[in-house]
Amino acid sequence: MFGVWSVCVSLVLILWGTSEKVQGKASKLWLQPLNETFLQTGVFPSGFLWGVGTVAFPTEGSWDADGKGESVWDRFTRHTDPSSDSYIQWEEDLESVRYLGVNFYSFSLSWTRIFPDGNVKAHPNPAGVQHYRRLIGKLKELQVEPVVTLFHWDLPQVLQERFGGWLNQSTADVFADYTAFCFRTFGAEVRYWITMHNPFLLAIQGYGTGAHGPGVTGDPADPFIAAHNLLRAHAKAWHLYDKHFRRHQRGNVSITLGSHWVEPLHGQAMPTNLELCQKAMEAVIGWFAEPIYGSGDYPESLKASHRGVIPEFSAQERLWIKGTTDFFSLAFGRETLRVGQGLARFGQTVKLDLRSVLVWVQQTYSDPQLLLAESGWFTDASVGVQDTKAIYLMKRFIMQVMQAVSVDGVRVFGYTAWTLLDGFEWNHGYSIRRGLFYIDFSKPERRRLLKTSAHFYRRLVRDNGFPAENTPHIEGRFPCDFQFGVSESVLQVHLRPFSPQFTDPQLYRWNLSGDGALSPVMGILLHTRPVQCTDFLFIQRHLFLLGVTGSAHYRFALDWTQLSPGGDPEKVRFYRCVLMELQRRGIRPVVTLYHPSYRSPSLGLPEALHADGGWRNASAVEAFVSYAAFCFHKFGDFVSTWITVNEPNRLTEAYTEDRNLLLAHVKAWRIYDERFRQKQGGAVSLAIHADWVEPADPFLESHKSAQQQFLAFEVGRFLDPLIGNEGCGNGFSNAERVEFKGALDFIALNHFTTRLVAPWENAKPQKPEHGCALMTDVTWPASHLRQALVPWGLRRMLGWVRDRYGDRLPIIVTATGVDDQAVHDDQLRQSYIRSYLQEALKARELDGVNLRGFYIWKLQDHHDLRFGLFSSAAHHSRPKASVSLYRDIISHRGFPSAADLRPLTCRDADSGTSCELCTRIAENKPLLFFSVCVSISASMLCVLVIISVVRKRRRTPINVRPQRLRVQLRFPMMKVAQGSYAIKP
Amino acid sequence: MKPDGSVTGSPVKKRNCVLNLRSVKAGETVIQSEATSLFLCVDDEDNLKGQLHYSEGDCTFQELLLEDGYSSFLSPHSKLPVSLLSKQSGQKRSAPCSRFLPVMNTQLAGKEEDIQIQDVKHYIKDINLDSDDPLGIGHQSHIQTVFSPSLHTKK
Repeated sequence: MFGVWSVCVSLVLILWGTSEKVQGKASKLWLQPLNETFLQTGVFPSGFLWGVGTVAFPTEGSWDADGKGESVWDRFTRHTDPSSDSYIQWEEDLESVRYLGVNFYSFSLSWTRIFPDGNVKAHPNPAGVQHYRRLIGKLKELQVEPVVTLFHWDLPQVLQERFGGWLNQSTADVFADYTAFCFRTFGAEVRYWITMHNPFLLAIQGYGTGAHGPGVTGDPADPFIAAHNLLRAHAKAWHLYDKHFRRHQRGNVSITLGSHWVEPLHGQAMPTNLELCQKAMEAVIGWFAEPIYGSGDYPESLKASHRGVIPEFSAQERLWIKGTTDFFSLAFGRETLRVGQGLARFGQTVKLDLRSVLVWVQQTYSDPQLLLAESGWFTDASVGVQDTKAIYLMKRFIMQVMQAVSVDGVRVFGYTAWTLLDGFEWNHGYSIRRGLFYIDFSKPERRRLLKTSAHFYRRLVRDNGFPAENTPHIEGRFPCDFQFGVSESVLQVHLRPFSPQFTDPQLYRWNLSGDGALSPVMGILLHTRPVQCTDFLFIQRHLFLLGVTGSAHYRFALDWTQLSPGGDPEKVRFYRCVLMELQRRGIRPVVTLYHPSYRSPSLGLPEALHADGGWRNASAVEAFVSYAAFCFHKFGDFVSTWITVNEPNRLTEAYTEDRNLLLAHVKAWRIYDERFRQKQGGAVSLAIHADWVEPADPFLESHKSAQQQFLAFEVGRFLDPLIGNEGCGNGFSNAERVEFKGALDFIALNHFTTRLVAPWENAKPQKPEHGCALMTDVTWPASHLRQALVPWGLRRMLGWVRDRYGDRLPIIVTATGVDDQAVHDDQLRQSYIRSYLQEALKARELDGVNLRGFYIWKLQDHHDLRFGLFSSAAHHSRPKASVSLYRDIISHRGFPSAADLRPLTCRDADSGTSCELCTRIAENKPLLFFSVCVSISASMLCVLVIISVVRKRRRTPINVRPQRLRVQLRFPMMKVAQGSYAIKP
Repeated sequence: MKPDGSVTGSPVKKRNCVLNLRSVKAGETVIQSEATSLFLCVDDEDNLKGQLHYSEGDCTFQELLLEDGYSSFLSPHSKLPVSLLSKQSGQKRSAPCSRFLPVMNTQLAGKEEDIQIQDVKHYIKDINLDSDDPLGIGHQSHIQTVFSPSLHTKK
């Protein structure tokens, strides 16, 4: 099976050869974090081995049946009940393994089931030997490879009592004899042997803290002695196999080592921190890995910090221990992380980062073949068969392995899901669950019940990873009338900076030759020019940014608190100026009347309304309607698209608010419809916050209905009364229903991200009203504010809206964007814009969604909330990299094929249709210009020729006196103009 | 007031700075931190500290309203005005005592987004290995709120 890897291997080695020279082992891993990858889909190399594991002690039960002896864990826990009853129900276990469809089954042999008192010289217990023979035989029958761990912590109690267990050197010899027996007895059928599982935990917990069996505590040297003997025992077993069994059995032998992962505190990769991180790794995995995979001796840092207590290997021993494995077997689980966090973090931060561990092992131990022998988390005992969170933890671990394999080139050849069954989890007993199959420990029959994580793992194994479900990238353009826009929140009234021009009517005398002073000429007043929009300096600066993005559509909100009938006319003028300037630049505005935001303490409402209870009070509706009519009247000439309220569904906490917000929209819409539409011809809508949700557990009907419930609440409660079908009660009267019906000209959606949704497990809380619990998929790439990047969520959202409301009304995505901390190179946002627009195109082209626009949220950063295409004014409004990306997409109007990359020019639809001649002229502009030039110069030439001919004929002298006179007359006037007068600007 | 109970002055508004003032008798006020629920009390050396349990003798301040609308609080032990300056700074009594102006809380009630952002940052920092949800997949408060960037525009 290693053959499959050879191509991969050589590739990796070539890559590696170049970078290996960097000094200091692996420390560069913390200096240069792994490539941030958005890799979400991908399959593992063919031949990748999927497996599932169990351990004898937590699952077998029957602790003294059929002549089994007592192990240190039997004594330590005094646990006598049947656990998962696997000794009896092993066939059920294999049925579960078969269901999962895995390639291998990893289990451990119970030493005391084979040699009850550990005495290998005695006869083995036939029942025990028979049990494992049957198990292995049946696995072979099912074509599932057995991966056998010889020792998973359940040392015979007799050995503990007689020799002191692993504190005694002779235990290693007894262990070697035991392994020899196992190799001889079962080896013909076994390809993968693990001598022992996670000796780090056994040494520390069993002989140090006493949290594990045998529970020895006291002497700080004990863990190191135990570890020393464990390492010897492993080496003996490997040499035995290598010498006597390998030739016939052709198996591979390794030892499973546990690891945690540490990162520099606060992400500060200073040399001291890096050293401490390296030290932390060496104190846990390095303790056992360095003798076997590295120098043959303990890591220097460990020896230095434990001088006197850590035993020494002789030079001969070092050579003998070094290289005693055939592949690297790694465990990454909670227990090692916990112990590592407690004992070996050196002030740094412990992280749940499997990918980094894999890369660290790759870099530190010369790129070994690697089996992930244990990986997984746990659930609380109360969690039943619906273990949704476990799904996402497993998904995350496996995705990290995938990234390590495909991005970093780590040679992982197998993954073990941990574990098959709930069991008696060592010192935690029944308080945690780790299985893919659930067991009710209060019932004697111990039935295995499928958890949803088992469904998930089964599908994953079948798919060999995460094949792309999404439709591949499509090529195509958005039509010319598609609105590529930028969206802003409230555009504050900026009366300052204000630079009035030509407002001084005085005439001044400028004494240039004297003291250079300007003095007004009394009695003379000039006409000044009327006030101009250019006086508001803010507008030009602001709209300049918009021009840089190349988008011809701009959405912003008016500040309700500043605008009211009878209010300051200067503020009205400011917004009119904005709109006029937009028109001048050919940018179409989408204007929001009311954009609530936490930026304003009254949530964007005029103070008086806010004080009266805001939207809970019906008077807000009337106030809004008169404000809306005022705005339609004042600004309607320039605005063809209105949004009444932005995200009313985010604002409301109570039903009355919902109702009043909806009423406000409807009444405003009616007023527009009756009084303004005919003249202004615009469209009015309200923008709904429409993030997509996926059922958290895709295998459960209850989660699918939670999804529908959530969407109906979030989107439906506003759109249903307006454009939905009948049957949306919502407590409205019949008259209201009629009034609401159809009060919407297009569907405006603000879409940012996708979440997971699940029903509440227990009683529903009062808040939130949608009655669902939200979750997040930790494998989705996410922004600094944990906003997940899920492009296909947009397409599904659009599809859902289309399915629910038909395609009568066009849809516009009125805000969409992501925060990105990067000052300039905003990779995340670039990826967001590209991928979300791509999904928008798919929705249009493949699903037939009537999508008309896409507005990026937002133009400019506001302090440290970094959603902007430009940095904040305080940071000099610098464009980020996504600006040019967006500009590029706009100029190509989407994603044209490589063969058709020329920018597509769209003529303005309105003027283009008016006359055919105009379009002809416009098309042939250069030609026309050229011909006009030619004809003019030709006629000029003609005239010149005629004139010169005429002059030659006359040949009469010309009187020059009048010319001279003219020069003399002009001179004093010039002198006056230069010397005395100037108009003060 | 920090979660460990230490009390200092701060030039910037933070969640820790929000204190809830309650009058228990005429002129007597109990002060509690909104974020940590610790009571503001004085210890034997008259230093301010936060503590979990309320005791009348240590945690009831006398409030003096000054002419300008500010108020100062008298320590229950020494009846001297309390000061937010660090006692270690050597300015012990010579420092001007702190005056206080009760203001509407703009840090917590209207500023949900701050809390959210802080929660998120908290999750990024530390991993709880004793939880069956160490990565914060579900059921945390900041996930339960449907966050919208267009509403949460930070001030």
